[in-house]
Amino acid sequence: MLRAEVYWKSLLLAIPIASLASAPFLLKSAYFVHFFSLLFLFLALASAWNILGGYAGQVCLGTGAFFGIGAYSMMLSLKANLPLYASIIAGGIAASCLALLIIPLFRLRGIYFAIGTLFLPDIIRTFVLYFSDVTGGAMGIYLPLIRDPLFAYTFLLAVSVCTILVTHFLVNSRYGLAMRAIRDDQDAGEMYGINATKLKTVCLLTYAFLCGLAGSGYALYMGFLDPYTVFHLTWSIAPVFMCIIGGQGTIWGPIVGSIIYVVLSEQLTFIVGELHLLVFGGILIAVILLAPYGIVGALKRLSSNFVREWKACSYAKT
Amino acid sequence: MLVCKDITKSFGGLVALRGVSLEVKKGEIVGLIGPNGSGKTTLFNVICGIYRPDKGVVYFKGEDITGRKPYEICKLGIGRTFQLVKPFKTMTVLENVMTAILFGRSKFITMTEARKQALKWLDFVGLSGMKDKVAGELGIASLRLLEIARALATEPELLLLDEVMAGLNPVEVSRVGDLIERVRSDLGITIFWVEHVMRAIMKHADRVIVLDRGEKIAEGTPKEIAYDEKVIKAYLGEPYA
Repeated sequence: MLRAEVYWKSLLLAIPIASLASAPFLLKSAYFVHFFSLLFLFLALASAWNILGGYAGQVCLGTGAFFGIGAYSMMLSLKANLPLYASIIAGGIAASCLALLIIPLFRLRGIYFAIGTLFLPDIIRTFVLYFSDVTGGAMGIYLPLIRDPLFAYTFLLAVSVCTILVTHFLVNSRYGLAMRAIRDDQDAGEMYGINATKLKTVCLLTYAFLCGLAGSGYALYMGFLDPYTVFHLTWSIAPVFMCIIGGQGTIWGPIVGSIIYVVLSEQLTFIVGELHLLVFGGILIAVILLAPYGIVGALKRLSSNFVREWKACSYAKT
Repeated sequence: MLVCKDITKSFGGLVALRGVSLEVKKGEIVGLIGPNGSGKTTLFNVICGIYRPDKGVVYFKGEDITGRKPYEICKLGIGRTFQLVKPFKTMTVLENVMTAILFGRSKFITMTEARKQALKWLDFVGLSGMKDKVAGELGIASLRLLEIARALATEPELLLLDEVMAGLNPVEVSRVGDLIERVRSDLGITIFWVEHVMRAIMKHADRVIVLDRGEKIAEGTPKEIAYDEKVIKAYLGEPYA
């Protein structure tokens, strides 16, 4: 019974992935590729953030640093004549190395940890600007290959699928329980045998590696990096926004959140320009007031209440 | 089983514990009482590794465990409940206990096995009816039982209970009292127990230790303590009959 369930689930997962992977080759629409590349990029960032922030409860506001260092490392590795796939992995590894450097920040808890991570992108940007003979400084840096949006699209799709699968397997394992335990109460978690620092470090490294890969994908897609765009606050805040809207600590939350974010920002920019940020602010306030666990969280609660009521009714009948 | 030697701990200028020495023997139920701020919880925090004492040594089964991390001490066989309950509040009752089983012991246990054992512990404390409830929705009495179930699930040899009866009504107090007796008789677990509910301490404890302003002022059977001059002055107010 369980095995059949696994087959069905894999099939359900495989169909949309296969259709998304083949769609650009059939549709040949540049806008389609642009839209979905952006969606996959944000989906990967939001899902990765969800592992550390949503499940393990460590709110990191420095996603842009891991993303940006991934993008730059990929570019520079390519410039240094490394093979393409090695350069892509280098993006992830560089981001993980940065993560290793900030482990001492885990001495801070809650909001203090969040504030501690907020300035990471700025610090990395300062380095990028300072070593301008390598990084191109404020002038930016170009991809030393011919830009291939379809390759970038496929790669970003793969990264986001990977991120969701990693989340799925992590949170359904014993470590998923431990992550939620230290999110709820770190002291109690340690008293019941969880090595919180080690666990948080593993989550941080996973998150950073995936963000670095997403950065590599971004560099491939754009073909050009400049420090003011790559280390912009958007990259740090958007994943948090998507997780809160969609529902932190759920697998579907970042998916729903990133779809809402990308669709709205694409459509609203046509209509109201920069004012679309105001709309996002409004949505955020509305969600926090009306559905503090996000859209997916609210639906889950509704459905579990429904099941409970339904059970109660059927008991009453018998 | 547990020996504390000359434990001293201060926070800035405030001395919370001043040279406290005590021993808990295997199979005993030892009560720890004293007025608020006398250092009871601080002593527990020192034993289970949350604080490192300024001076003194903690021995558990003859081994020096002073300054070990809480998650190591848990695996050595000391379980603990918290005075201010600390459930994993977004997780279900069953998941709370499973977490303790999976991480609180030194040997590897599969998820299926953990689920099975968690049900057993919930049954033991009488919470099996609530296994799928989210812990944040429970009332105080159930939360206290959940704390005990979680601590027992780590299979401790020594259980530290920090005011498990605070906030319970008389019926619940006697139920938890019976549960504590069963923990000792059925499971053979030694209990070290901080409590303000004197009725329960007098009934269940073999021996009582009294702290006042960070110092041990008395030790003896519940009867002796109830009539001890110093204890009456510091804590009880009048002889406890």
